[in-house]
Amino acid sequence: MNIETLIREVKPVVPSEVSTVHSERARQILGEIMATPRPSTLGGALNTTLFPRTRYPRMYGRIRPSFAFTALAVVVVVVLVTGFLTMGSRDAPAPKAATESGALSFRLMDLNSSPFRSLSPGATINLQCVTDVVCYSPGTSQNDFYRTTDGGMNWVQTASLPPATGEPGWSMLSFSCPSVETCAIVDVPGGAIGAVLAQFILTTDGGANWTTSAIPVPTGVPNPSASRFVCGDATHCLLSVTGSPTAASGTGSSSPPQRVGTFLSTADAGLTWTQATSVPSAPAGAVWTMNCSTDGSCLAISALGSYPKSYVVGLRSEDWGLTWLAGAPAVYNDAAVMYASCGDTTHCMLVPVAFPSKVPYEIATTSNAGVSWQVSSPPAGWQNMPTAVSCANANDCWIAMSTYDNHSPNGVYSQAAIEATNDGGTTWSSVALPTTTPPIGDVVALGCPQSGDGCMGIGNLEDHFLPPSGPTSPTVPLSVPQVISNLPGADQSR
Amino acid sequence: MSSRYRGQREESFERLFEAFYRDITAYVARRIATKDVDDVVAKVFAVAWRRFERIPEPPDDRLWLFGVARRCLSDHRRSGKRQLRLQTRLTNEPDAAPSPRYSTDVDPRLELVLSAMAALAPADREALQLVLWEEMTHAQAATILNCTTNAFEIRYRRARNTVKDLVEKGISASLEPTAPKEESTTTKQVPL
Repeated sequence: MNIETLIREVKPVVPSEVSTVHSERARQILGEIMATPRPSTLGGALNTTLFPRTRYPRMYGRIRPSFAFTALAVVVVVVLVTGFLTMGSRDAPAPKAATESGALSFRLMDLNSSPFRSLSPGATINLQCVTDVVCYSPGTSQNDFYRTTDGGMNWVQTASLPPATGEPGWSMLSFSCPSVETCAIVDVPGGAIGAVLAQFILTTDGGANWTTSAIPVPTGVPNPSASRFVCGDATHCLLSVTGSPTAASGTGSSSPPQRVGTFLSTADAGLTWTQATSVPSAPAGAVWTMNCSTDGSCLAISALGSYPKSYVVGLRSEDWGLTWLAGAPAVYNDAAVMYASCGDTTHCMLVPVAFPSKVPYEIATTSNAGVSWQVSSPPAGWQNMPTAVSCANANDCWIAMSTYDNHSPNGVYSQAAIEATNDGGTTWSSVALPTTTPPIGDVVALGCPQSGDGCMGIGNLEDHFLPPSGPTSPTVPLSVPQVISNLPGADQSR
Repeated sequence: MSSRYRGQREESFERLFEAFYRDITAYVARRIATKDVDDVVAKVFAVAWRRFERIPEPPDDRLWLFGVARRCLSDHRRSGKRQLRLQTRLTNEPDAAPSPRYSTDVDPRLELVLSAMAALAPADREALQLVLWEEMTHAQAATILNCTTNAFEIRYRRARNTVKDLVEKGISASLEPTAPKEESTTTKQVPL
């Protein structure tokens, strides 16, 4: 159920004779108004005939003193609170305890046509839902592409992807679907980079037909490889490129070499690609996630450094990725970013997973394109291992998590749970998962459409993989991954 | 004031009137009884006429007019002469309201939606209606409601989720018309 559609349905219809500007009544109103004498000075007394009961005659422009004092007090409090929250990220309060979710529970979807088989435990998989019912995924394949138009009940393989030209062993790096009919895929070669960096594969008819074009090798980036990819609309796409420079000569240091990178963008659906002209090279080479909106603004979140000094940097572009500005880095002393999702070009959520010390992981959010970050520990009761995060928009995010124990007889991943926030991470509420035998052990992917109505997920049952050294360890998974969804468009009878 | 200036002003105002009369009338008509629409619309454009120099340049002039219309509607509802409130119109006065374009025979949930909307706080309901009925963006609606976009999004989301919850729970005729739903804050009890 899409509640917004239902609300639109109950919009009352205004009879045309009421609202027609050329109606007799409209002309009468216009004539009466223009015959009304205007006050000689602005801000003069209102016509009491027209406004007999206006409580405050000044409707705009002035502020009553009592309101001004109240507003000033509110501004001071907001500034103080905001400054407190953003000044010391580690001192940010933990999210409020979970609340009872009003969202739909997750349900099992049809497995008859599921492309999600043979998943490894803890594997990541790409899944993107454009609307509440239209989702895309390559499944567990590297060369196929699937689409559902009924909220995950049925998956249909699209037309075969065009083979990459001239190079063997190409595989899908990433894809992005800016609309229900438009998807773009980036294929990369398995071996050394040749004449092209990657292949851009595009459909504008839901996968019935595909076209290809070459993404050129950027200049100034040694050993380049395509990294992250996103499309802001049907013609504008952005690809981050990371380089692997050889170790700095003469230093003799064992520290990893400085990262380098850049961005390539297209404004004509992949026909031509332009390299960014102004970009902070190091963060560009370590992009974890990107988001572009239709107005040309783009955000890239980079994770740099290594234990014990890793940090994130937000990169912001206002011209589809041609020029970039970096925000201040935020340092995490004991964690490396593992999951990241940006709901728009200013709001992101990261789940930095810590090394085995202190808390197992943290939740970092930004609402200003990475200028500042709020970091908090997960609320009490959350499982110790996040497995997926997805933000639908600025406010609605979902985190999947499990209990991770590679000696547990229940399986390496068990007790899967999904928490949802509708306020950008301030408060969280549990969303029930379907009851299965055995229970769902881990949710390896979440795809949440921009509507914020819910998500589709891919979950393994607990027997999917038992501990490799356990006495009951099977040699093959006992169950296949399940498609789950709490999106209102999906079948709710299950 | 020279006659030439007066003529230009009148001409500009007529263009404004013609451009937005339909939008403003529809906006007003969806919120009050049909018999009162003309009065409120006349007030809106009377304000525009009197404060013509203060009307911002396009495209903000449309939002300015909607802001005036919202104030005029608010005044109208406060008036002791007119007892019709929005929720009354939504639930109890079908004859005075514009015709709905739906049929509950086709989708019985729509009655639940109406009842749920009537149960919202007025500001929350207005947030939904500006976006879903008047086709405003969140930023435009925030301008009309004189709040930040962030504040509006919170209001909008709260309203949408409340309506969604109420509809899902099947609450309809028993709804209290003035009690907005508060989000629960119970603590989750899940052991590690």
